[in-house]
Amino acid sequence: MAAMAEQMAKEKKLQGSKCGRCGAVTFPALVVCPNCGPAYAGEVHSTELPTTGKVITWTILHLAPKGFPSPLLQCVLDVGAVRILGTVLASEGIQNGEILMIAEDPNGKFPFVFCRLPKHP
Amino acid sequence: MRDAFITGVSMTKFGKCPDKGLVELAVEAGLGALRDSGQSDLKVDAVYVGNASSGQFHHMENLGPIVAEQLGLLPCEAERIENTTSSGAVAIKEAYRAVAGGFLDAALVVGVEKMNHMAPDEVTQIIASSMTHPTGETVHGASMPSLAAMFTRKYLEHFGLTTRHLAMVAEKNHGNATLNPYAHIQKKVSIEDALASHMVADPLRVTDCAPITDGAAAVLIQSTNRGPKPGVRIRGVGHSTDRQMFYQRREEYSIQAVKEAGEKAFKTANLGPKDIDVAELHDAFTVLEIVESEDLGFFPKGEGAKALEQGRTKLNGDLPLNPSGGLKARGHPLGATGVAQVVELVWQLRGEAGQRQVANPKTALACNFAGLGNSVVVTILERS
Repeated sequence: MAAMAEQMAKEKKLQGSKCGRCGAVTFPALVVCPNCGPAYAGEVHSTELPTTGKVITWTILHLAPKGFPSPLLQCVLDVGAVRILGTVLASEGIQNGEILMIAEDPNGKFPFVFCRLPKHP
Repeated sequence: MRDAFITGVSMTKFGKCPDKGLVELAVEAGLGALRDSGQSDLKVDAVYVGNASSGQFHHMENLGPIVAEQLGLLPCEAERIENTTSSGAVAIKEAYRAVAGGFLDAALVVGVEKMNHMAPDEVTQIIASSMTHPTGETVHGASMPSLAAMFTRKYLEHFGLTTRHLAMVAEKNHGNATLNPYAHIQKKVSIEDALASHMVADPLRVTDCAPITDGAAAVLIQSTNRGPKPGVRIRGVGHSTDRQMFYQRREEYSIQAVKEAGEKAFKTANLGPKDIDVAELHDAFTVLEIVESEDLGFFPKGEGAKALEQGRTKLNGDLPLNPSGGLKARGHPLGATGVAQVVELVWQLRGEAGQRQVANPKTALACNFAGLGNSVVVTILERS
């Protein structure tokens, strides 16, 4: 099931924020840049995040919070400008350094999921 | 600024407390601290209740006035202070500032939490909802163990450490807790037991995580040391805050807010890490004791595990860490934890810590944090 869902996953574009002064990207978006502070709030604009990134660290959570399935494979993905957390839709384990794609959750449970890049025959 | 002293301390037995209510636990600890100070008839100016999530755990928010009334201390100032798992230390900070600043003469701080009436996945959900980033983490099913696990994986990898080092923290702190009649888990855990215990969030096993604990602790802070017990002076408090999502912070292998809070506390105290004789650190997850021991300046970065291996942080070492058993084994009733750390250190400084007494300490440090170090309080105490 997971393997099939992985193959059919659709890329998802996320909106973060970018500071026009220092270039810092944040996700979830912030009104004020964490580096430049409130004096430069006007410089912060919406920006689209890259749709792939590298796994920085991961875990398999065996007791998920109520309302979520266990076990739950989670990781932190470095998409270049920012690091974001998500659940991984994968039929097997992942490794640090692996490249994953940000995709729509086929089950509609999460705002987005991470999955392996679709294999092109 | 004038001096502020801790003149009375108390805590309830930590653990699962099905027969006692939240307020009842708070009142037991509060009365205990007044009794310990030898001044049960004292005019208390303020009651600060440190509590993380009474709203979600008990559908009750106004703990300040309720606890103050039950303690028979009205009329006085009363408020609940919430800063997730650092609520207790923040409440002590506010009381200390009010007394040292000359606004109050006597303030009673009570930390309390009760969670075991709920199922573990519900407790995990409530803690996650109150401590993780709402739109960046909570919605993805992240929990404190999952975040701590991802931090731990990176930290171990970077410094070439293994889960055996984590197990050594568990072994030490569980050992200390067997000497603490107030501890939640009074059972020895060997390194082998720890490495064979069940996985909570890979690489963290159950022995790497603080248990779900009920309990309360209290300290009385006064401008003069009037009690019959040896005086303990608050030398300094530091508090700092960092970004919520740990992987978006500037430093990857340190908790920046620990460094900043520590530096502020040491500066106020006019002391340095070498002056500290005993410390209670926030080991909600085993790796954190090692990380904090470095970020507070006790050991160089990357050498906390070596100090642990060498036995330097044991009860008879040159810097005993978590003589009480820590959050790991004394237990972690969220809002009570920061107060319980200070209670333990006051007992240590007075020489009242029984079988777990460390040798003649004069200065002590507590480090209590919210979440995974997004808001950290460091408190330095001295026998006066």
